[in-house]
Amino acid sequence: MTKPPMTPGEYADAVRAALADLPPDDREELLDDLDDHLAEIASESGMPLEERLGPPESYAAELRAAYGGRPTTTRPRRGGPWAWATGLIRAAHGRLLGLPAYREVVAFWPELRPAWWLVRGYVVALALLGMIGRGGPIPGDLAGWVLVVVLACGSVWLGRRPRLRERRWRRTLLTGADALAALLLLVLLTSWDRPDAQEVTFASPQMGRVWVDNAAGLGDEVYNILPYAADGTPLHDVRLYDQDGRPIIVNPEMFGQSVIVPCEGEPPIRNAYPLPLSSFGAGEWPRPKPGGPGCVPTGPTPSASPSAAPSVTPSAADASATPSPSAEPGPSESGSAEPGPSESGSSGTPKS
Amino acid sequence: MDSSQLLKGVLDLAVLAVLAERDGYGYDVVRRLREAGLEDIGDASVYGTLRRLFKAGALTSYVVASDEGPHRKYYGLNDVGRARLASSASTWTSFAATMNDLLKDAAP
Repeated sequence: MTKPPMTPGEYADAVRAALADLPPDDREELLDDLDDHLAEIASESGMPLEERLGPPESYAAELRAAYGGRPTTTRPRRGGPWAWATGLIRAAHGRLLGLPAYREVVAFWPELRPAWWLVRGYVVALALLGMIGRGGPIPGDLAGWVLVVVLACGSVWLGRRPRLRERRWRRTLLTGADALAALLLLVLLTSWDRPDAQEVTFASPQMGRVWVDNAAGLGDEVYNILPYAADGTPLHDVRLYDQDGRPIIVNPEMFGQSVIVPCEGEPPIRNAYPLPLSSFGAGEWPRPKPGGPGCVPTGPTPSASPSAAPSVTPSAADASATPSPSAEPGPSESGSAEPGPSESGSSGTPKS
Repeated sequence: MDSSQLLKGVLDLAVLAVLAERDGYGYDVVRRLREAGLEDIGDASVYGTLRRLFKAGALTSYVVASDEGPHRKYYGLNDVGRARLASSASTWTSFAATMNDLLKDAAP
């Protein structure tokens, strides 16, 4: 049984049927002017369309391949937000290509890649150094620099091997690593913005941790200051500022000490010296006890109030000993330590 | 070597190059590509490529009514299409130069 040659309309319908699995919008987009196109071909030559173009099914397969860039007839559908997002980015990229400035950027972008490889290695090295407690935007010692150089070289080595990206899982892994490095870089840059900020911990869970912006420190060795007048009288509540007017803050928390916070009234001012401190034991970080008091009752223990803090003074009472009272506070203050403050305080890590 | 395999990779570039010369409708593009020497080119491949480039925003299109035959949908390059043509062309040029270098001694 022989069929009469197909008309352009019939041929187009057969192609449509063969592409029935495409989403309707996609299919109409693709086949928008197929009828006119086929009519054009039919009118140019007397040959039947099937002879000229092959069966509609193979025409449809070729169309699908050219339109979607995929040779398979059963197109694996990767729906979901990820496909949607990449589609959106591609569309935006296509639109932006209309802008000359954007085209310029796209043109020189590949030349920036080696710079990114270096930065990537550097950032990962800093992150590793930060994890072992040696943070900072610049490695502090030779070992740190060696790590930086090794990782930077490794990163460039990776970057110079485009074949590594041929496998899908490797590409995904490397893209993820790149995104992580970019995120780390962002964190690093934003933490550079506030180099003077210091984290200040009060021995009270209510107070939590407080960031004191623009504070001056006294290095790593001083955690309290005991001011004396010329005649040897201990002074209380002395506010200290540096030459720029920034409050001078110390970190007693680094030395197993915490600032005592009275239950009533204001929390102690962090640059009013001497600080009322209580030790919570060397190497032990205070943990907030559920239900426990987060502060020190001011009534019974006079040492808890800021003004009564210098219980350390007796041993330092002779004026000649004033420069070195820092040796004393440990034992003498342990007497004034209450269980309250030692079991309270922040749960954070000390920050230098 | 089957040249249709090679053609797949550069079909976009070929279609863009033809349209850069002057605007054309689907069958016209097919004919011009064949006249240029790409005789194996498939009609559906060209049509699908035109629709894809149009969807990607690289082409403009307008319909011209015709007296004797069906309406013709003409395609032309816009800025995006010209940018894509320029970047694809430079990619192709360097690729072709590399291949020519490779084959310099091998070719008879």
